[in-house]
Amino acid sequence: MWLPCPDDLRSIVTSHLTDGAPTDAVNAVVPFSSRLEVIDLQTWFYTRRGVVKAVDGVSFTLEPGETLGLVGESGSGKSITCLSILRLVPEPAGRIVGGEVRLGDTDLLQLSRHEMEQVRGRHVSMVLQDPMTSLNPVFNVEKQVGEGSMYHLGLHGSGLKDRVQQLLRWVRIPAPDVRANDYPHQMSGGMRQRIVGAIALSSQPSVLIADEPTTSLDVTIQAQYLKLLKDLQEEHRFSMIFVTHDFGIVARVCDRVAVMYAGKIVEMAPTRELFSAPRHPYARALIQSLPDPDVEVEWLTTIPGQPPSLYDLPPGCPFAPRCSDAMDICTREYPPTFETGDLASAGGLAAGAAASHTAACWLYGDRGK
Amino acid sequence: MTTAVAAEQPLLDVRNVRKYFPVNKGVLFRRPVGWIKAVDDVAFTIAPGQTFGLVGESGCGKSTLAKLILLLEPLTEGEIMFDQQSVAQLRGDALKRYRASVGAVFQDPFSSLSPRMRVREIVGDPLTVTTDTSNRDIEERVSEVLEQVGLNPATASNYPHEFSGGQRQRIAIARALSASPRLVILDEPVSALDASIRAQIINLLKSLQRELGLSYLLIAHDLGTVRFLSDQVGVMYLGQLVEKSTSREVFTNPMHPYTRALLSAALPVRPDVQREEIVISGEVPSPLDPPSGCRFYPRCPAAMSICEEVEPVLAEAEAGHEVACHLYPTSTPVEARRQTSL
Repeated sequence: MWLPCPDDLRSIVTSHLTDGAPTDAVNAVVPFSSRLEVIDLQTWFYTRRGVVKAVDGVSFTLEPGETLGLVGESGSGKSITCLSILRLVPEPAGRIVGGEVRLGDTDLLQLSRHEMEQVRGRHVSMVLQDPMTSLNPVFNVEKQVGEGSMYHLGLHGSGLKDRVQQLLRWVRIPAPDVRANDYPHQMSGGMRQRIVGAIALSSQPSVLIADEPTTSLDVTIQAQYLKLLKDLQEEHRFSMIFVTHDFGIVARVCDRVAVMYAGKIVEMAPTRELFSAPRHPYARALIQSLPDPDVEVEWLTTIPGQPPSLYDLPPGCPFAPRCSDAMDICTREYPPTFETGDLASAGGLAAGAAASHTAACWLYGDRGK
Repeated sequence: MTTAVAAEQPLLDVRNVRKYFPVNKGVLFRRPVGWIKAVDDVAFTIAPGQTFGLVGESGCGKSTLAKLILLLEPLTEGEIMFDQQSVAQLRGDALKRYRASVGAVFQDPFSSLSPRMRVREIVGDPLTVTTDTSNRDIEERVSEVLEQVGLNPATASNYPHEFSGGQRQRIAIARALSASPRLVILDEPVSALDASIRAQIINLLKSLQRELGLSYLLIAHDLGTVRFLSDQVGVMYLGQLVEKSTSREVFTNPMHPYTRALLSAALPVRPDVQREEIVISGEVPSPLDPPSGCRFYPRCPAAMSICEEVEPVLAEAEAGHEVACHLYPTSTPVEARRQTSL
């Protein structure tokens, strides 16, 4: 059994509650070294209008302590990828039809319902976009923050109370003893989202999935929240999947980025590489089309057309109709994923940036030429 | 992009406008117990063919300001002049003409277009309401503006649900233009759109402005969009303008600590562009009970003792660059200056 015994954890947590600091003993029990591996994930939706392949063959690895950005437009499949990892895809319309989600040595897709409940919130937890809808308006903060610790760590009474205060301190809530009795509507948006963060951290997961956590926040509050997430990551050593459509956020928080388009990852690269030398024509065009507050330009570069409907995707590469580099083969066959790292050295980039840089585009295969 | 303000008369002149909302208490005898100062003494002008960009966080009063200009809310104090006429005084035909000359585009093209109206009715609506144009002329005008915004006039009999987000925003722009306005208020015109569509709409807005000589009031939180479209930029905090200058000045030489924090928080588009990281603490205080003195001082990294007591005034600290902050002596009222020097 790879799940650590909750009894051990409970005693450790309670014995360290007095000092309030995150305890190394807790960290030792939780499998922080687990890497998350998503292999050829396919999540399809069966609707009256036909089958929607919302996630179609997505693969990536999340190393311990790493932050991976999932970027894409609405409908590109980034949120469904995250929901699939937690097996929270709305059924019966949505179904995970193929692939593996490996956390450590375990394939989460093979676990029973009960086993999966031990994983959610315990090993993999999630911060959603809008704290207004992800918090329950009729329970106070203490109840909602404590739920995870009660369920996963078996804490009760004063032990649970202390644990809640500790969690609130972690996310920098001022006067946690008073705030614990507040209801969500008594708090500001930034504060609410920090409460959601405290809930997500309550069992010290090894993977945190943040699905557009700052979209509903103001810019100065967004900056505060991103800094908090980075600080927490350093203190508690979790790895993070950060879903966003904002390249500015990607630049600030992510180590690596996966760009999604129409249910597939089209490019994966270390963050700096993606911005300095994007390979896939979609990623390149998207980065060029961003209005930059540091530069004055006459006109913005635009991408013609609009994102395709997932109901009737064109054959071949779904970006081909909008692509300036489209070739014959692009409209016939979907390209495999090519390693494009050698281009980096040819382009005179630092050799240190040797981490894999891949793109699913015929421009980088022999058959495209 | 013209950086100097044209010497001609401004098209829109917002003069020391205030909007206070009463906060009532009591069930039977509702009595005001306080005021939310949503807009508190704001003044700016927009010249013909120019864009004024308003930047600020939610709740700072920028959308209320837009509503005041659109006459959707009455003013508490101050005056809004359009073409040298006070708009509060307009009645009858003159009011209709004013409504025709000010168009508006809102953030979300999914909620701003009625699902029960055809595109023809949506786009022609401002004409029906503000003019006596005949149906045939309206039809012609609708085809014309649809073409201007890049839509096929043949789609005029379709319903909004048949269009994508980007196309819907084009319909909303066509509606704003159909009555041939001179000023268009753009309230977050691209923030609800997909990234690959945004640049198309931003470019469209700019080319329409050139073609038709429109003035824009642009409300946006994406600073890249503001920089690209605006000639003048005003930064709002808790109902007041704290900085106002040309777009280039505000972005290259921000003077108010809040503007600096805002620019720093607007994440760099490219990770190799290193920016000074200023994370300001705290949250925007309630406009019901704003701090005394400078409204930004509780969060300000450069706060001084005077900031707590004396309210700074928006004044020209450098040529053509107005700022309201005690870091610049021009912002400290004369009496206060005398007192502190004693």
